[in-house]
Amino acid sequence: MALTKVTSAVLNDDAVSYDKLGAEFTTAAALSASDVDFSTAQVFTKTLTANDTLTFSNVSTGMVKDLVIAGEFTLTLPASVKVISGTYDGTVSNLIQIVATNGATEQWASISQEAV
Amino acid sequence: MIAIQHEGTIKKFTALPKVWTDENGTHLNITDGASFGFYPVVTPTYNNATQSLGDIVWDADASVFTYPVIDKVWTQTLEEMKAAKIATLKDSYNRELSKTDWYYIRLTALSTAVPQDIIDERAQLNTDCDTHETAINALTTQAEVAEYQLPSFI
Repeated sequence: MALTKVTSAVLNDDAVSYDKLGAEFTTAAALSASDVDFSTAQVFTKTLTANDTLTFSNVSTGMVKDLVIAGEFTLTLPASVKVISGTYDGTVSNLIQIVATNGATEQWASISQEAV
Repeated sequence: MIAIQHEGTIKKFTALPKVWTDENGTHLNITDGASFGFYPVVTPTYNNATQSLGDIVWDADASVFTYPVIDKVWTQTLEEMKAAKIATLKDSYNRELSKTDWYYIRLTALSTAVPQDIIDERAQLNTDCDTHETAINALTTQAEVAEYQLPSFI
């Protein structure tokens, strides 16, 4: 009989390696448009050349994504994002880490920059 | 100081906020406040003896937030205000005179003469106090009494 699903019997403890993770957990993507598709990459990068408004798609509770954004312009995130720490400094690269705590309804963000 | 009208109220900030969330999103690094609804707060000049400032309002013509200037309404009558002002005046001069009262205590106790400059200084204080009292009594409006500046001693 063909194996149609993975069960605990065929998946050993500690057996899921980094290589087995999907691209959404292991890749970085440069944002050319303004939509951050949570299902496509782990890290999203962008250098702003004008004020920009990002949208989020395919957000599910528990997802954690990293935005690396630079550019001395106003960056607008969805209203569902609550900033819990840090401020954006457009003169350097900013790591904006997004944690989805309630799907598309609520995400928390922390903003940080390289220590100098 | 800047302010924004948001969700039915006017919120004031000392500077553009680092993070601002409205119905359009969570905005970071706002540089052009006006495009998000942030405008300067202008405090009008007013006479705080006779006027006060009302609640902050939006002035669409000038594109600023400001405060209406409201003339004070006094609960005391003109005569009551004069009496209160004169009481404050006399208390102030009394405190100034009390600084040299000890000369007269010493005169009584030890028969040591009061220096002439102290006598002159106290005489001048009494004269000045009388002058102020006369001036206050000559005032004809509550605003004038409110604005009347009493001397301030160091």
